[in-house]
Formats: sequence, structure tokens, C-alpha cells
Amino acid sequence: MPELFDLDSAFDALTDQVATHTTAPGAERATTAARRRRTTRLVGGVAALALVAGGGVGLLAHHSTRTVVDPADDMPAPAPLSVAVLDDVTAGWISDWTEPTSIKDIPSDLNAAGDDCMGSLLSDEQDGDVASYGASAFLSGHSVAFSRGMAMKTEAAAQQLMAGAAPSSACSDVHTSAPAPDTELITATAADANGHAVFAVARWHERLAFVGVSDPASADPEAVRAALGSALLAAIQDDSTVSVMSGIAGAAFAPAGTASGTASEHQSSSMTAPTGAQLQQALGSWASGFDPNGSTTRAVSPPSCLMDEAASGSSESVGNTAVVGLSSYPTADEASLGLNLAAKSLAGCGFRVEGSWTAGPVMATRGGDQPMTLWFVLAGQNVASVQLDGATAPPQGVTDAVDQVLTAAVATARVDTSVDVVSPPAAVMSASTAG
Amino acid sequence: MSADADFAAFYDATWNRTVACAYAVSGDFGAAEEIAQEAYTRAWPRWSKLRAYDEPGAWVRQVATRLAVSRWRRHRTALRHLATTRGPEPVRGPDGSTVALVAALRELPEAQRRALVLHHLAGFPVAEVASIERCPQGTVKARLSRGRAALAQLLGEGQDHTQDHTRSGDTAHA
Repeated sequence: MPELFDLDSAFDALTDQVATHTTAPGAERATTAARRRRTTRLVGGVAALALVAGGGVGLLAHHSTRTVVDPADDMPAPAPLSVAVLDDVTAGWISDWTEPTSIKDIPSDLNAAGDDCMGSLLSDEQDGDVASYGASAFLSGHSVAFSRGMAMKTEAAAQQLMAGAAPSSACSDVHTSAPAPDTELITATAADANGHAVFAVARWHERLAFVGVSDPASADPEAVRAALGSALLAAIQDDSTVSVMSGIAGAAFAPAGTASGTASEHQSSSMTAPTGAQLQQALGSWASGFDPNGSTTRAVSPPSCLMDEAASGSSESVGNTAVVGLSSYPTADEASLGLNLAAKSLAGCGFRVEGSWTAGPVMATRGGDQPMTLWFVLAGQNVASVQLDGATAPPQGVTDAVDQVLTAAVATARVDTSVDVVSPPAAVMSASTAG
Repeated sequence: MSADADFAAFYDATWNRTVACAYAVSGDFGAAEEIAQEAYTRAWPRWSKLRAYDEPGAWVRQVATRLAVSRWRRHRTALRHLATTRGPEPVRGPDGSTVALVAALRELPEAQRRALVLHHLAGFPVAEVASIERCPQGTVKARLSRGRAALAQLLGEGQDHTQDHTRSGDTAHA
């Protein structure tokens, strides 16, 4: 390169100049943020709310009308997982459980143990097979407990998922049993650098439930393994386990007209949703099946693995195969955490996730029997999203165009702090689950 | 050395260049620092693998560059929208830290700017840039050549700028 214009040297000089201006936040801050994201995924992954549907999953849960099956005689009496139950189960190991009501309640340096074991116990469900969800999370200092329940539409679907729960080599003390007809139970413990954990997975008829307890201190979770399994068998018979999202899961979304204990902490954000015509223009000929004027022909429900615990918002069906979601978090930091959680959850259930919530858009696609593409754009505390059923792997041009549409939507956000209770409009919620 | 200490040493050694990459693309110094930090936050969960790389800094710079490009696109889109719906909004302009090179880079077409930053600042060989950009190597070379020419013109140093000047040996920057 000519001496007169040496670009390499110019860039080297730029780097040197940067050094005189920049103040690095530090590696520790990066590692702390990364660890918190992981923990948020772990806790939030079971404290489920739908980001895209803006309460759609909650509505499904709210409207769950399962026919209760009489418990078998040799099963424990139905009882939801609660602080009191956990205190009993973990007596001598962990005490003073509480139910967090905000993501802020989660210690920033919380690192749950046994992630690898837990991952092998949780199978990916197919969205269409899930009738309703429930979730809860509990904390005691740096100990964490979390549960998730699902009612599948058929017992066969539940059996298939349970069959997919295969404890890995990261699990110890694995016990598999069939304590009652149509009932399966797997319990296991795990230990890693983050501490000790004990897990239980159960199927009861068409229901599935999971519970995990993690503690950073050296302890022997084997002592509580059987008790936790029994508590899960009690919980899985309780309708709330598969239909209620409590604590941080239930805080953000309250059924219309119902006050929430923590909803007043949240702000409400109004945004102008993209129109069907705008979406069609962005999607172009790629999504030929999208009809902006068509009626929703089938349930456009959010992916069951898409979970969040802190957003409030709304969603509406657009055209025949799309859902537009507009969500708002209490703070920008929580929005970033929430989208990180969403991306992690999607990546864990068969979606290919690309992009950055720091500098969006984030796109998630999957093929198979239920092809779907989702885009998210984050601006401050607000998130706009599009879920498009029946189409996958869009070209970059489509993603760029959708990015522009969503960016325009979040740019219209105006935060209303006067709203005390965040309640997605019932009509919008109904639209998100219609079909 | 523990993983934490190893990562901290890596962070300290590569931070400036990572910020420079993001800054060169975005033209926003504050955003560049945020983007760089995000890149390191993403690197940490992968550190057990990245630390074995010959040049883990390249991975971070690539992430930072991509984040900066995406952020720049979004910022541009938002500004366009605001301009049409709410009238003129104050745009975060260059501050004291902005140098002529970065200002000139912002005048270039996005693809040329990205190619220049990825190759000359992030240190990726042409083949790697082509892989990142999903285009033929010839296209990358053309973008580099045109970008350098335009940059030289913008910087008022247009002499002999049309030659093809890839980095010496076309090797990744340390």
C-alpha cells in the first residue's frame, strides 16, 4: 500500500486512538452477564409466558378445561408445589423458600447446577400437542427450584415425550419407576461446578411435570430425591400444575380485570402494530401462503418453548398465518434478558436462531411438520415480533424488510406509566388463541 | 491459569481492537463499546472452545462487526421512520472521539465499509470475509478496492489508490 494511504496503519492508529478514549467495563462484567443469562434461561425456562402471544399461553392455561382423572390409591394426594412443600421436601438441605415475583428478585450471580442432566430429562414437545401449561419458580438465597407442567392433548403424546427423557451421564442416582397405572417417574441427582441438584420428571395420564432443585453449597441431594419425586407425583395431579403460571410467571400477565400483586410495577407501552399490507409488502413473494386479508384458518399459537417471565404486552392475528406481538418490559435491561431467554428457549426446541437482540433483528426458523419463522426487534424496553406459520428460511431481503417494519413499530412506542395493572385486552388475547 | 483469569487477560488484550471494529462500522463510540461488551459476553460461554483457537480475538471481532452492522441498520431504519412520522429528531452526531477515518467510512456503501473493516481491522483474510459475507472472493476484492479508492478520495488522498491492496500475506490480524 502506498505510504500516502496506508489503510492498515490508519486502522492501527484508530485502534490506538480508541485506547485513549475507551473505558472497558471489564471481563468480570461480561462473565457475570453471561452467567446471569444462563440462569435466567434456567429459571425462566420453566416460568413460562409467551412473548409472541402476549399472554396467549396464559389464556390457554386459564381456559384449561381438562377432565380430572381420579388419582390412584397408591399415589400421594394431589397438592400443588408450594413454598411449604419445598420446605418439607428439602428440610435439612435448603430452607426458607420464597416465590419471586420479579426477575429482579433473581440474584445476578445465581448459577443453577445440573444443567446438563436437566437437559437430558426434558424432551422437546411439539406445539400442537400441548393443551395447557403451568410453571413456577422458587428461590432461597442462591438456591433455586423450578417446576413446569404440561397437559398434552393425548396420552400418547405424553408417553412419547416421557420416552424421550433419557438421563445422560451427567445424571447420578437415576431411579425410574411406575408408581401407579399410567404413571411414570424418573428422579436423578447431579453435581457440577455450580453445586448440587436433584430432578424429577413424571407422567400421569396425559400430563407431564418436571421439577428441579439446585443449591450451590456442598450437600447430599440424594436425601431428598425420593421426597421430591413424591411431591411431583402429588403436584401433577393438581390442575394448577398444568394450568397456572405463578410467581414471576404470573406477575406480568393478569387475566383481564384481575389485579395482580406485582403488576403495578410494570409499565404499559402502546405501539402501533404493523398492518397486514405492510407485512405482505415485506414478505413479498417468499411467503406466498400469507393472505393479509384472510381469516386465521387454524390456531396460530406461540411455540410452546417460547417462554418469558417479565414481559407484558398484546398480540393479534394478522391475515391468515401471522401473529404480531408487541411487548414491553419494565426496563431495557430486562427486555434484553427476556429476548435472550426467548432466543435460548427457541434454540433449545428445534429453532435455528440468528441475529442479535442487542442490534436486532433476531430471527428464528424451523422446518419440519410445523414450519415457522419468527422475527423480533428490540428497542429499549419494547419488543415487536412477527410469527409467521407455514414458512421457513426467508431470504435476507425479507428479513431486512420485516426488520424495517418491526423497527418502525417499536419506534411508535409510548410508555404509559399511569397504568397500574397490566392486562392484555381480552379481545386481543382471544385473537391470539383463536382458531 | 484459571478460565476466568485467562478470559480476563484475553479481554484486556483485545478490547481496543474490538471496540475499533465496532466503531469503524457504526460511527458511534458509545454504541461501539456496548457492542464490544456484548461480543465478550457471548464469548465467555464459549470460552472453553475459543481459548483453543489460534486467534480467539477474531471470533469476538467478527461478532462485534456483525452486531455493529445490524445496529447501524436498525438505527438507520428507525431514523427514517421517525423522520416521516414525527418530524426531525436529534441524531446522535459525531463527538470528539470521532476521527476522520471513521467519518469517511460512514460515507461508504455498507458492503464496502464492512469489507474494509472485516479485512483490515478485524483481520480476516479475503476468503474468510467472503465466507462471512456469503459472496465470492472476487466480490470482496472488488469491494475492498472500491472502498479503498473511495476512502482515499474522501480523505483527500486519492493518489494511486486503485491498486489492489489486501493485507500483507492476506493473513488474519493478530
